[in-house]
Amino acid sequence: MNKQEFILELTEIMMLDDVLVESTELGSLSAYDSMTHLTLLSLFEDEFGKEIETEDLKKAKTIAHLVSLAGLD
Amino acid sequence: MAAVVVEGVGIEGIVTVVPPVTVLFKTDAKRLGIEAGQAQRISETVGLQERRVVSNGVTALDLGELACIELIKGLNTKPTNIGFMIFVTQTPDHRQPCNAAILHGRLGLDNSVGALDVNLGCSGYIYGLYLAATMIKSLGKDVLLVVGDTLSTQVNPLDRSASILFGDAASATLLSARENEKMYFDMCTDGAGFESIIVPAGAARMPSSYETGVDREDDEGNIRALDDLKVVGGEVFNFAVRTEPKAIKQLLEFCEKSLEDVDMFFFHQANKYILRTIAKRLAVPSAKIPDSIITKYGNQSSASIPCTINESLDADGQQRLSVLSGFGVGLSWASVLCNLNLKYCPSPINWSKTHE
Repeated sequence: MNKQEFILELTEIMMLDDVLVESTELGSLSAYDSMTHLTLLSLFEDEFGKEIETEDLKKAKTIAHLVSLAGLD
Repeated sequence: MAAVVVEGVGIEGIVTVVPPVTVLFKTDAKRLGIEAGQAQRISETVGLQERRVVSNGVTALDLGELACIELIKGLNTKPTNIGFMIFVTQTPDHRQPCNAAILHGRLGLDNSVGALDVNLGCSGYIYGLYLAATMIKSLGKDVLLVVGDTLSTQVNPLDRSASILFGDAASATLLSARENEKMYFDMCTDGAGFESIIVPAGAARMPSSYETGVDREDDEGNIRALDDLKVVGGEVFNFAVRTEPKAIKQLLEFCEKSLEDVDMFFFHQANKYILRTIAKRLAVPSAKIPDSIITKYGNQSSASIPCTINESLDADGQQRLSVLSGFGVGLSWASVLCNLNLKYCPSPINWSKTHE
């Protein structure tokens, strides 16, 4: 999965109408909630081999931070 | 612990009893002010549609009593064949005495029948099966295993993460000596994670008080008191999807079986997303992993595995090599590989007052 596919996946996970961009602030997304966190925990582990914790996701401020967590920057 | 095999024992029958009161997820979502889009995502991801909850003071003991009565009747066995009774629960009627003792009295079992409670949740059915199986070897009599909880009564109704999840149920399982049968067990604990699923107050460490009953809001907007059940979702999710696939593979290695040899996998029905992730990581077809219980009944704690069996199988004389596996509070996880060829396995039964 490349960066663009990852961002599209994030858009689908959060069931958003508009495609996300790297500068999107996660705090502005009501769908970036605990349910999305669960989905991302397995996505990071299964797709990128990264074992992350919920705290890592809470600390992320923008989509770019998630991209970085995934090792796609 | 290291995996072990208990030879010459098997499961005769299982009965699960659920309360008749249904709470729809959309009702929960409305109560908690969850917006429609988010509710849809939760429903689709976790698999929540409705759950069954007790009302009017009905307890796990009441549900378990009916399960035992129906099981003994359905198997056409005699209470005198029972040598021991185990009740796995975290929602007993009283802190003292144990549920098993009270149920012993209600069922009119002989004074020679031992009875004890086990304080475990979602892994508890497997722990109970192990205790029962080993008891049969020494007692030479049948063992009655009852598992059940009413966790809907333990969660704060304003806790957005936990109050939508739990349903109530109890199951009764009879194990007996069976020639040529083997049950392979593996049970593990990670006590360092004990705070991931916890009711902080109400026992010796922090007795209930006015203070422990005061609602507090956490940083995710969940409201609960120290007397309420707290589930740290992310930690439990990571624990489940990291430990379960490894545990199943280790057990199968011990049994010298492959994933393909197994006909059915009956997992604790925590939520659909966890089950789908475990299935994906094990590369097991989803058809071999029933996951409808969370949708129809909610997360039933220790009763979810037997309820899944009741929902999925009949007493059709077919033998199915099955893995049963639970994970949860402790943190703890446990699995068993065994042949399921049940003599009595009805669909889950509705509890009603006429059985009181």
